[in-house]
Amino acid sequence: MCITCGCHPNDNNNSAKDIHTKTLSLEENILKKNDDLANKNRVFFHDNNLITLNLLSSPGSGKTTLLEKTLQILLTSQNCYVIEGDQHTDQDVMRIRATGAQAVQINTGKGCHLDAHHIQHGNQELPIDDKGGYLFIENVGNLVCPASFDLGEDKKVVILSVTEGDDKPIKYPDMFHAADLMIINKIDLLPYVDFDITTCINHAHRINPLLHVIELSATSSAGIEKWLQYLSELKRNKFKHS
Amino acid sequence: MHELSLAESILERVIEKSIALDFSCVSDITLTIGELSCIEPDNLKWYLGEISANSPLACTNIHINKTQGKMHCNHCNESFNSNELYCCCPHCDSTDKRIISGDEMIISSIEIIENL
Repeated sequence: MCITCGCHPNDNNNSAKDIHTKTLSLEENILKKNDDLANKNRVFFHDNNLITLNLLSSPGSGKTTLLEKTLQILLTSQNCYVIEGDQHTDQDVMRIRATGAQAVQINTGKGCHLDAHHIQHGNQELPIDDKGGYLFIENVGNLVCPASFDLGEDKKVVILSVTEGDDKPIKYPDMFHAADLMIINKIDLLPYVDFDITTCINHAHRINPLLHVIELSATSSAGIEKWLQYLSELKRNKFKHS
Repeated sequence: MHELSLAESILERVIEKSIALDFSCVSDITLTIGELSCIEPDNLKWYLGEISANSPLACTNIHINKTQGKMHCNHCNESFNSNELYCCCPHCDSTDKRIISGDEMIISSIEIIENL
């Protein structure tokens, strides 16, 4: 029963002549509110000369380790900020703060993804100024739900570790379609696992032919220079006309 | 599970609309969901039913129109239908394609009841 007017589909209290129905055309994106906020975030990032990356993966792919390694290098010359998304605990934000980066933890509770509203709050909590730098958003570990939500980022980066299997792109195509860059992490473990890098990349490119790919190991630092170069080029390209 | 967030967005938007336009009841909501979107329509419908139980939309009928995925091949410039992202062009076998339509997630219309 409707709590506004007390009506019910089988309700006979009103005669047909008393009820008037009208169709209103909306044609609105279901995610309009999120997308509007994401666009506000995007303007905020641009106005503050920030490059923003949304890091996405399943749990255990090595996102936090890659972030630690990246921050240890970047912080010698750049401002870096981090928004950490997890359902529970502040364990990751403690690891990130140990590198010297400014970081906030957002716990989503039962939520399975970060949305643009979370990021708006994260931006307010971080001491961001217009000196620029990088903002890394470590999304909740999940290869499904975060794909749908624009946060206002410059790039979506999906991280896949070789211990997860080379068929991940075809199992979770929406995420690999939404991503701009795929990082294949833990390549130092390749001799010990049944993972074919060529197969993985072919699968990913069949879903998203424009997807960039970087192979690295956050633990051993192999290939990390390609990731740093990618970050540097992003910054150069975004602000070349400024 | 993101369908729960999407259901909440739909509920919030329709209630906002009903307050703004001052009508008493929404009898029907029609959504358009593309086959290439990230939504499972049955899950979305279920979540909408669950979260609207104690809301002004408790007795609202939900209709979902599904739209087929349509792609453009960047290699041979032909268009083709596919509801899978993992696909290649049926005309030239290229995987270099982009979505033209079929990834929509839209609140198309609502039917309102006005007591005279």
